Amino acid sequence: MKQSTKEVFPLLHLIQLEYKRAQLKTLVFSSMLAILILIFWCVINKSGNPVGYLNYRDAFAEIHFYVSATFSIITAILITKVVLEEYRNKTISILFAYPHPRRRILLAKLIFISMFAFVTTVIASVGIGSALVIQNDYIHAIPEEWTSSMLLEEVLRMLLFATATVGISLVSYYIGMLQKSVPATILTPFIINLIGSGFYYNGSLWSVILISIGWVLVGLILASISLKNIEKADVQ
Amino acid sequence: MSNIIQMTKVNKISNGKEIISNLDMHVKQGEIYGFLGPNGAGKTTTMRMITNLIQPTSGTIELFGQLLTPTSYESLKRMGSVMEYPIFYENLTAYENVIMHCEYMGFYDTKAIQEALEWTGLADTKGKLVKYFSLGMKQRLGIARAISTKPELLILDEPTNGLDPVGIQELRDFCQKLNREFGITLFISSHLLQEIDHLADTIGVIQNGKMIKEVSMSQVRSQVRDYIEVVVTDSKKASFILETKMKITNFKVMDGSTIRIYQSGVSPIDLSKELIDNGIGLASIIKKELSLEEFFLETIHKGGVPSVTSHPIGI
Repeated sequence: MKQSTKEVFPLLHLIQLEYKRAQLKTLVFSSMLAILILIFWCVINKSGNPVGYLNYRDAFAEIHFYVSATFSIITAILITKVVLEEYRNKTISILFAYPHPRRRILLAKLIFISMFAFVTTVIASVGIGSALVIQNDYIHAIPEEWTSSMLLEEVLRMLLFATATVGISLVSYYIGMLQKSVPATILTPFIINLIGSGFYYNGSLWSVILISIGWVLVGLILASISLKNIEKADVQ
Repeated sequence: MSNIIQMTKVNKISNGKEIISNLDMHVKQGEIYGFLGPNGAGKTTTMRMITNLIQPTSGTIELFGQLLTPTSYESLKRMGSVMEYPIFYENLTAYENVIMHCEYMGFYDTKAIQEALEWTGLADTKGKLVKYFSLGMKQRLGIARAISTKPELLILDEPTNGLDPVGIQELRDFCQKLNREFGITLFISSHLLQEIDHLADTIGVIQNGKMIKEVSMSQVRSQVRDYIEVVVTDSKKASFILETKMKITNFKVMDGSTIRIYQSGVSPIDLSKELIDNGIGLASIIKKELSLEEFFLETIHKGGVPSVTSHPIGI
């Protein structure tokens, strides 16, 4: 990034610094591993269904569920790395002594986390979905034709679920920050997905739209609550 | 000379406890200021207030002549700080840590970064992660990081922690160099006087959150008095003789056998003769200088030595 850009878009610069510092290598490796495992489970093993998938809708419902559940937890691990560890190692006191509003520093972290959640969810869904469609092209396990309207609907659902994953990640950020607790951060998306699993299977497109927007709103509200009063708070 | 840090009637109450009370402080531009006080006196809290990590409950802090508020980002750009037990990103190298710091500070000068690492003897640690550094190396890296942005004011909280005597001496020389060659104002805290008395131009003594004394060292050195210490068999009897026969009034009985005579113009020869003539056994008689340590101890315990006026510097 050029010097002038750094000054005009300080937030972008800070997001870039978060990326540099996060050293995503391990997390990217685990994400790729997770995608391979999910391809095995959802595509080859048909999510454990003894009779296999009856149609593409059922198959993609499984994929969306497993991808969202997996990557909201991987994002939670990123949250512990990027936010909680800074508090635990007290490096946050270095960041807060810099000539940037604290809100901007934390916002950069939240945007970075949200981007990670969204992008990994999309990449995983595309990867696993493609594997399913390609496999079916050869062995025709699903007694149904893959149509472009299906493609459109599943892409739409994928984007909505990725958005919901961002919202859920923000919620787990908020819950984890209450006590600066790693288990709370990682358990939150796990529990949310466990309770809300029906939503991946039975939801109409409209209900998915509403619920995704709902999660993002809840996440944004909680995130803004956590940023409130941060400027004047004492850092120990 | 103008003040680079000025704290006026600063109070800090945390969890209902008063940590800093009514603190006034004046750090002049270009000087080395020693901030002295026992552990738990409020030194770190004060320094965290200066670096904007903690907000005072009341009172004002001025940095570079400007009021410090939670949004004084320009002031923060002009200073560097090393807090007690310096903290780093342990999974990054020394160079990466300093680069990261400069990026956040908005200061881009790779030459200055390289210089800072060379100065602190860390230039050849490339590739070594900070988590494998010794405490002494971390202390030096803390300083390298703080000076990499060429600050006008450098804040060091207990910088000698974890350093060996050689390291302490190096640090002292280094601080002097920063101050003299680059004109950086240094604000150094310590709980040990001997660590900063040769370094500091001004010393502020803090205890229980209160600034007990702010005094310039040149003034202190000129005020530190000679005295004669005599060790006798009976200090009670000896003090009677000093008062009645030798007309000495300014002395102090330290214990059952030791007396210190502060009065000037007393000849040790006359003194020993007089004491022996009056049947008092004399074990030793030495001419001594009141050490700075004692001077400050006296200041802390008695709230001031009369011969040194408080706030002698131009306020």
